[in-house]
Amino acid sequence: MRKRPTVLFQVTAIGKNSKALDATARSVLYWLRHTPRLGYRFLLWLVVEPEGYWSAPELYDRLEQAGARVLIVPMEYRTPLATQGKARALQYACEERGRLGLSVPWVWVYHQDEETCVGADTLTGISDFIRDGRSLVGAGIILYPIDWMGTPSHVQELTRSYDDLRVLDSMTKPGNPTAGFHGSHFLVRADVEDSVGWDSEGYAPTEDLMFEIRVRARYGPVFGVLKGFAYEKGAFSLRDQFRQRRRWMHGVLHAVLHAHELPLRRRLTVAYSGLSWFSALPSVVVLVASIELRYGPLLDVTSLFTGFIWVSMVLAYIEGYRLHARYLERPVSWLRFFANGLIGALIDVAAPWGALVRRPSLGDFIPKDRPAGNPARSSRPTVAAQGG
Amino acid sequence: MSQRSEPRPGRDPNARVGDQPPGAPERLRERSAGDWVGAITESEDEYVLREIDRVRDELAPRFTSPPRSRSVDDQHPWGAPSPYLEERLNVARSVAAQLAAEASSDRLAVPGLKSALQTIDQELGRATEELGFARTEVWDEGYPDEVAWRVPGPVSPLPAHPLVTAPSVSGPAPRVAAAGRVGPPTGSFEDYTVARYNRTVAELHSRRRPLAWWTVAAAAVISSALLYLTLRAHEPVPPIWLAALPLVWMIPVPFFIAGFRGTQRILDQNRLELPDP
Repeated sequence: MRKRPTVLFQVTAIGKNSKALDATARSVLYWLRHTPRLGYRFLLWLVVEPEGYWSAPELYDRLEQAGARVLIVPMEYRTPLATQGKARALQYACEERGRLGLSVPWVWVYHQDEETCVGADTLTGISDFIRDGRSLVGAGIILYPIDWMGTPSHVQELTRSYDDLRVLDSMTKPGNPTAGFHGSHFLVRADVEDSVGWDSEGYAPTEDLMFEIRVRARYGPVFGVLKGFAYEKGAFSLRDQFRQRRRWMHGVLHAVLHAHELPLRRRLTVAYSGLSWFSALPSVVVLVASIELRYGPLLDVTSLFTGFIWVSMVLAYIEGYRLHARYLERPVSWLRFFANGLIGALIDVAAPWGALVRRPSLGDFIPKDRPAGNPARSSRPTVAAQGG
Repeated sequence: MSQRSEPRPGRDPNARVGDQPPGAPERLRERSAGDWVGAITESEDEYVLREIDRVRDELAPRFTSPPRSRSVDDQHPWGAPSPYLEERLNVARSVAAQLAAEASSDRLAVPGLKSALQTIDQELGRATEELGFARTEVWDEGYPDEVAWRVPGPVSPLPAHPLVTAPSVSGPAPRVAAAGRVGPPTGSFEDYTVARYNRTVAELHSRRRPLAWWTVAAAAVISSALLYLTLRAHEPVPPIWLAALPLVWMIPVPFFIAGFRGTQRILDQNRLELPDP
């Protein structure tokens, strides 16, 4: 006999994207209401900054009326190591759990960004994961169907969903060889999270990577696959996409250079993952240059692998799209899909180099509320998509 | 109509919270076939009205003051055990009462009646499911001895956590969230069902082997074509600094190979489908 678990749905964000956050919270409440046999108690916490709350106080009050609990991180709150950004808010939530007696083995924390909507599958997947009980941390596949418009940044986002399969495999291996983890759509037992914490010196651009490193260093390979999708939205512009990717690379560099808990072997794999990403831009340059320059016999070797890399990249777009096919309102033509994918890929290619010429900044969060210029559209799938 | 007003097969009539009038569940169970034969011979209107009255009686409000608070800190620190159960019953009750009122004032419309009865049936069905599930669950509400069950101990020495000693500034007092109905869904999240998820991942699983073979085959064709073109070009050996440039293409090769193998492995070793709740 085990104690009935509690799942704490925790949305941690600045809180200024209030519409996105509202939809996220309501997706949780809606599906908790409509999924009667989950087998766990639940809590919903919205952990936001004061400026986020004051951007839409009525909205937050309504969500409280609906059953959420709004935690406002005090302006004067400081962690012992003076961490900043999202890690600070996450650490604050850890301390609140400790204060309320929720840092116990039968409480699980499901982490969401402000645009991480859930479905019945997400909640059922959480239930399945807890019942299985073999892992302490679980992450799953994220789709990006919300407000999908087929723009280059949105097409590029599709590849991330297919890449999540690589992420899950890597994460469940002992050494996480290709550095896979998520900052949202992951479930962790509260006592494990709170024992590790989120505090670190200064600003950690990718606090999720640091967290994964710490959990692995302390508890070993305790990661499992969380079934069920989470549903998010991609960046609305190429500029936002660039800034988001640049922040990720800042996080990788931060982990390699400043994560003292990182064993040497893990440090090398994280560094290699970053190097692979860095190599994309020179690869494109060399490819273009090869039209003029003659590389000669060396191509006898490299061409053996070129085909595999090209096919793998194209496959990520196609399979990413197929994963989303039932959820997208707007199918795009193959020509547009190809062109937008190419543009989105070029942004991803250039973004890590942007991290070398600009310092990490707390202002690198990107808007998730639909821009005013874009009329709202239902994301209900078309008949064709439903049948597909 | 008659099917909806009878308890569903397998439903436990006692699942409706215990303060029902004496004999109510028995009345539901003990309706004989003769009753139904008689009902068929009655006029349809009288029959509908009588059934509505019966549903209203069965669902008449019996809670004097339903709990309005969902205080996290006080009443249910780990979350209320079944916070929607009463709401489900209340919805069913209010719809039944509304039906009865409309029926008595001759404003009852058949399409509205059908929808209302579906709501009652749906809410009662969910409430029954929830109760039945809660009763069959093996969770123990007492403090478990084996809380560290299957949990490995730390594999490395525990560093002294800075939070142990450092003071922190506490935040505002947590506010008590009042119980309220969740408004109508404003996004598309209502479409995110288990059935849709299962279809998506089942298709992904079914494509696993073809994906592997097509990837290898396409890669072989492209690489062969590139190799053929390279060999036919008969390029002279370039200066070493120039010849080294294409090595940059080799950097991500292990990453892509690991990704390919990992994708195949994770799909092979994990069935991602979920049971439909």
